[in-house]
Amino acid sequence: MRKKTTLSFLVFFTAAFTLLFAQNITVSGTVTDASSVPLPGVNIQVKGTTNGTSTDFDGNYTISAAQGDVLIFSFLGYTTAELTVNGASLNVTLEESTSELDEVVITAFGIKRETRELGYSVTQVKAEDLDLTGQNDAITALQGRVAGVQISQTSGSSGGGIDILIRGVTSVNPNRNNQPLIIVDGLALNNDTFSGGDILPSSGSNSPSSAEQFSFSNRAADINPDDIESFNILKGAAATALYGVRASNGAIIITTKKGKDGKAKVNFSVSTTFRDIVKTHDLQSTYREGWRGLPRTLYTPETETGFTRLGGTSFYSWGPKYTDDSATLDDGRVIDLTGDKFHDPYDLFKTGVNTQVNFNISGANDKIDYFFSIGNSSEEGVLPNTDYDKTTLRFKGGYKVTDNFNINTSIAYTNAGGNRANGGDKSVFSSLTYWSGTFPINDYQNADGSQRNYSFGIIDNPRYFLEKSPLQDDVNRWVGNITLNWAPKDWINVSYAAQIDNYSDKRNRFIPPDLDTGTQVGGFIANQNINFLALESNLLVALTKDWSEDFSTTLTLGNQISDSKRDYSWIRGETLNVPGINDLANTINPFAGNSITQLRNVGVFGELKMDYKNKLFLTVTGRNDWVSTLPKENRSFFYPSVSLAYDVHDLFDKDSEIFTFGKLRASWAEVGKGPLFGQVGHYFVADGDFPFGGAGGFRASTALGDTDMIPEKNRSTEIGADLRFFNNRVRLDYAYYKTRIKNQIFTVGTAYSTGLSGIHRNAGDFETFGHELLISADIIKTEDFKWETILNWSTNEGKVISLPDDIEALVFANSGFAGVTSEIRDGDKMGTLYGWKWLYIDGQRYIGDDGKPRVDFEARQKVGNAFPDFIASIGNVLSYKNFNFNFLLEWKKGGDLYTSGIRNSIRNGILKSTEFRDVTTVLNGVMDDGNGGFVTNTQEVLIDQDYYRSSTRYNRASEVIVQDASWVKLRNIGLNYNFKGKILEKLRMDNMSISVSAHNILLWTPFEGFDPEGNQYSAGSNVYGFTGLSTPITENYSFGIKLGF
Amino acid sequence: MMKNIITKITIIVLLIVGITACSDDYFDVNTPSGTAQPEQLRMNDLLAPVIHSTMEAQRSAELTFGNYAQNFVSQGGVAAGESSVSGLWSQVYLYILPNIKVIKEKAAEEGAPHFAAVADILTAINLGIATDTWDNIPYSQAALGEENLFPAFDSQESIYNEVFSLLDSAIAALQGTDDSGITMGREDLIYGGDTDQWLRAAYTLKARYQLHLVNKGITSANDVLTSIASGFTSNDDDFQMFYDDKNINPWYSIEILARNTGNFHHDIASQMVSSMNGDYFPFESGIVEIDPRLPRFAENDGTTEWKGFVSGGGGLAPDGSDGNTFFAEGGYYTSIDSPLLLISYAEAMFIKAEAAFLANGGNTTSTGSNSTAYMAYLEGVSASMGKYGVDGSDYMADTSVDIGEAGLMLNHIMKEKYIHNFLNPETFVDHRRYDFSDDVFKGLTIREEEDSEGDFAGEWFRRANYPSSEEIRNGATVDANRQLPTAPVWWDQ
Repeated sequence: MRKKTTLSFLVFFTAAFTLLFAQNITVSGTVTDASSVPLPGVNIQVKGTTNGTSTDFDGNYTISAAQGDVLIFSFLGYTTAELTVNGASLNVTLEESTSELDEVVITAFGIKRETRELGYSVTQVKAEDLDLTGQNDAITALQGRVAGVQISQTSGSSGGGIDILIRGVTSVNPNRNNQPLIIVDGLALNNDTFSGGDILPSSGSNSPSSAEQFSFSNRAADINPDDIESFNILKGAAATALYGVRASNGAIIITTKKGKDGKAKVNFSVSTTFRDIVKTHDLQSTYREGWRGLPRTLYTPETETGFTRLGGTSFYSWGPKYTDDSATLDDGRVIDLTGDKFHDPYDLFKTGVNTQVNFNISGANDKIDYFFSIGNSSEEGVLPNTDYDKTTLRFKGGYKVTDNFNINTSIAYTNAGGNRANGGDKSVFSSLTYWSGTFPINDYQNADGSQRNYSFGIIDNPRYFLEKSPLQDDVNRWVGNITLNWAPKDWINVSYAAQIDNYSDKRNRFIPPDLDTGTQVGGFIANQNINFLALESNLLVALTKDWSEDFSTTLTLGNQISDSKRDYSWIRGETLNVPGINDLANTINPFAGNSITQLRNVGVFGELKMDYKNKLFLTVTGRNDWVSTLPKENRSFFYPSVSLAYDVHDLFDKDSEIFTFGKLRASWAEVGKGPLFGQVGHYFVADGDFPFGGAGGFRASTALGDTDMIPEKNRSTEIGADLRFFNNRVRLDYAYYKTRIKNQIFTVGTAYSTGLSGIHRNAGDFETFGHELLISADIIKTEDFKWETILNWSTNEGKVISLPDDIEALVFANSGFAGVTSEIRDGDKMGTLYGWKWLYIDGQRYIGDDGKPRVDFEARQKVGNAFPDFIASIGNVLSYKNFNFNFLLEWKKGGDLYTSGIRNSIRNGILKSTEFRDVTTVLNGVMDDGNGGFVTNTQEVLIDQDYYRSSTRYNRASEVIVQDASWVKLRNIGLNYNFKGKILEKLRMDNMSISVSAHNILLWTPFEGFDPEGNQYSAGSNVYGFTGLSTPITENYSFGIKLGF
Repeated sequence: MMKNIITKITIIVLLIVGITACSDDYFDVNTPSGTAQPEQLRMNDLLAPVIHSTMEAQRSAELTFGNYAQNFVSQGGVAAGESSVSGLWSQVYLYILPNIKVIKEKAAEEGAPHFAAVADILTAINLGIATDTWDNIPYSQAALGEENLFPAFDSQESIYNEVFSLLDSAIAALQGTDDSGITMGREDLIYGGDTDQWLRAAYTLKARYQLHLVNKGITSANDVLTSIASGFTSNDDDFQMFYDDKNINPWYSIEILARNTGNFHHDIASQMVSSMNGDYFPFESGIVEIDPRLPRFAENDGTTEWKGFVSGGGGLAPDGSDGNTFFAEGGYYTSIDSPLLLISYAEAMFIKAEAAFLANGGNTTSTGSNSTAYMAYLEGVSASMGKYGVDGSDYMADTSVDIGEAGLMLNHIMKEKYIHNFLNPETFVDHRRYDFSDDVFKGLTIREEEDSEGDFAGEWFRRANYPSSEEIRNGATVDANRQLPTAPVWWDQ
């Protein structure tokens, strides 16, 4: 008791004495930015003391200081100001920092940090620097912008998904995607590309899975690109450590626009984009339809079916030349061929048109801020009868309840969908790989509405397919969230956010009875209903403490709950009553099913950030996750991270203008990952062919999941440097990372003789590493003329360190008879393609006694790799007065592709390469010398259809069907004109600009076929290296106008 | 006041977070909907899919073998090339054997020998067709799941021993009593739970497999005769499964529906048509124009002439004109509710006739046999006519058919068996047993090569390749067993 009194007295006395001695006064004032908007949370410190405070929500502060003391005002993103106390009032205007040194980036959970403090790399891209015109999916605009991030359009289909890989593939599970977490305004936005639920009839269709048939949208496409303010890309495990499991493939953090102080602002923009498929296969236009030099079908449009058959299978293009006027058949008939000509099958494609209209209104005062937008993007696809339409509404508002408590809320609605063309086998595109140019592809319908088809059913007419049988999807999505922010003291901040993300996706597929896919069941209609609901809750408490002038800490503690549920149900009606009516009531045999996928994840986490002398930053994090997809005993797991940033600039000449900033960083992090839903254990399932004959039936699932499964562990280390020169005009950022993924969980494909098709389990040890380099320079920086160049270069390589002895290979995709697979074996690099090769003798191709090479069927060999050696890009932004000109060149070096369908095109003789025929030649290689040795081949051989059609001599050799898909692309080029000055005043406008731009033009590639960026599979499929059977990627030309009031 | 509200909100939030995070079964949401554990299921729940798969397995094999055996050609007269018959492999190893294993375990637990016997018969059927397709196949190490990921293959010889032992134990069990009270009902898609019929099926199958080994000298024709004596007694015993308007017959869908809509389908091969239209066996009575069964299988373009497609002949009939014979709409096997037939009473009679013919000292070119052979031959033809619902009296009276005991040749028996076993993969076995001899199969010539890949031209296919899934995932084993698709299987050597 006595002690306490003594202490109190001592404190009082000391305080009084100090007060007396320093003659402190109370200084107060307001801190604002250049446009007089109050800045809350600005740090104020009396120089040379630990005495400090910060501004309240209205930018006001009070601090006790002596006359002549210097106050330091510091705030993220603003230049620090030092002012001397001279009187009781001190108002300060902080300048926005122009140097990117103090750039503020948003890290996990919306925590704002200066780039200099970070021990890992984060890339920020402002939406205003991107050309979003005509993009359906805003993320597409990031292509080539961020080192280490590979963004690919999977197809040129309207609304087609985009695939995002940050630092390559980490989970090698072929059924699992490696897509990053998408966060919008602090909360996760579901970005699934749901292509599950195959839309196939009960019998007869050899069509591939839906992932291959339709380029479904990835759901991040539901955001209106026009609503986006900025992107932050968190690449490594250290960056995403706080987000845990779901961000183990990195995260893209999107911040949407927000109302800014002042009067209501209205923005309005319109744009039109034209899309064209320019890059296609080279086709031969010399030889007509036929077999062994003779025609089998004549084009007679005036007849009932459009064709006159001469006999035999009509399918191939091994007929006479178009220049031949007649042909004599084996039976002596002389056929007049004077009317023949080549009709380009790619006349199927048309110019797609996208029109976008966006409107938003926003504003703020000292209590509230608001932003409301409405946007529409509607697109006619490059294929007939395909389209995509998206309408979005977004409201975002903030309300400052008290000085230390505010509420932010947003609600977004999206309606999206359209008609999609199908791809894969038995599709528009597989048919196109066979189609003979002798017949115009657009003459597709007979007078009675039935299919006009020269092959009489072997393939479908692609145009007919498109016109009669698109897949429609219709998505309605609501995302609503609320964030509460409470800062009861200047050292504590509590925030809580909750979100509901809900969408329904209704799909309809109609297959008339005369299309291959539907013929066996008399046509069918499939209606699918996907209902998705995700709830998310984040609680975050941040505690800041300045221990001394040199040392401060921030401790953040949090809890996150996420619960998502997808309820998928389908009804398929088979056997149409009336062939043309798309209504389930028009079908005779109904089939139905339902599946529910539910994932729950709870995490608690903490982050301790230490800051020493504002140049050494150490951050330690830890997170524990509970994941519903793991077996009960292994459900909970913990993982830490450490990162360090050190400003080394001081070690050198501080005032040097050459070396103006230098930071070294290093981090180490671990993150865990569970399996997919329902992969643990073994179940019996209702057999799909039942009920049958009044009986029901169950059977064992052909897949089994190990019940001892433990989480995958990714361990990453990253080192990097951020160096700036010449007053920061030249900036260099480098990172090297290495991630080791142990206990990979995947479905190990098993030989069917085991009774299982696969086992889900931990297997394999995998490593991925890469370099990322970003160099940017302000080459010219004057008032009127600015020229900035940004260069990105990155590599990524994944390598299988070991697979268990009982796994020979992991197969991602298998082309079947052609023999090409995307698979990895022990020691292989991720993305390896295997296939057959020609037989070689000491590096020389072996030529058999028939004068032809031999496909070596001894063993399938490595024939390529789907992933590039590196990706580089160079972007340039030039602005001169009112003009702004930019372009971005992207270079993908290496990366091989198997073109599905190319073998068909060869066998049917439609490719340009098969134009070389009916020629006797000597092929390169060696032949037997008759004495057990080999000599240069001298045997003549007739190159005819048998050569191309032989799968043992020619068309299964990877040399023919796997190609180098390196490319250089002019990703975009654009010119903007911003009206300024008087004209705006006259029109009473804030801003007005017009722009013209082009995307994806000028492609240089050795690859023969469609644009090699396309993927045969839907976004997020984790299958790379297969292409050719989806809507080709387009060139785009856009025109836009923006108006602001 | 505001502070109070904030405090309250905070407390509520913390409560919600706390409650949800703490409850343990909160995470128990990982069971896929619509699934069951084996202990929830009865044997009856598992039986029907196994039977269904067994029948579908036969059909998927026939898609290739029916082309090899020249029942049909691919549209345009195309002959099938080498094949891995992967559909059969998937059915047998993924859908049949693992589920039979569970049935057998349950039958043992519950003391239900008749159920176990049916499971054994189904196993024997599937092993039989699998080994006849690929020669060495996995069995003793198959369907063990995680326990053995690289099953070694068993030799065909040991598989045959297993087939016989399974059939023998099924026969023994079915001849005994079953006190379990567990019976089969609708889920027995073949016999509706009639165990006597299963017993006769076991004998008939045993005879079929014994016959496969007669030429190899492993079994004797008399062994076959012994088994067949306890086999099927009438067409009512036929081992078949019927489809309906909803679960539509697969031949109907891929042949009739496909063709009606201008899609890929098969057409009837000339070997089939020429065996039935008098080309190979000219009708002598003057009354009979064609085998009355032909219109039950096929239809033509309405002309009187029936011209099948030459295998690999580019769409032509043997006389060089276009083929005109197609699958019959509404045909016995090609109606919406047609059955798939695995083995029949008529086949049993042809098995008996062939065995008796051989037991009597007959060979591929000899003429004349005993009355057992001849009576069985006639009974087979008669049963076949009954089966296909046609009046065969004129046909059977024709002296090209009613050739008498002294005139009977192996090719008469095999012609009738060939016709009767239309769309039955057993014919491919018969062809191989007699080396595709045109003494035994009159008129049989090797496929021509138009429109095919042209590999193995001039050689008969005698087996299937192992499927690529097995090749990739059980590579070493496949390497050790792989042979050319033209290499004979063990019993064919």
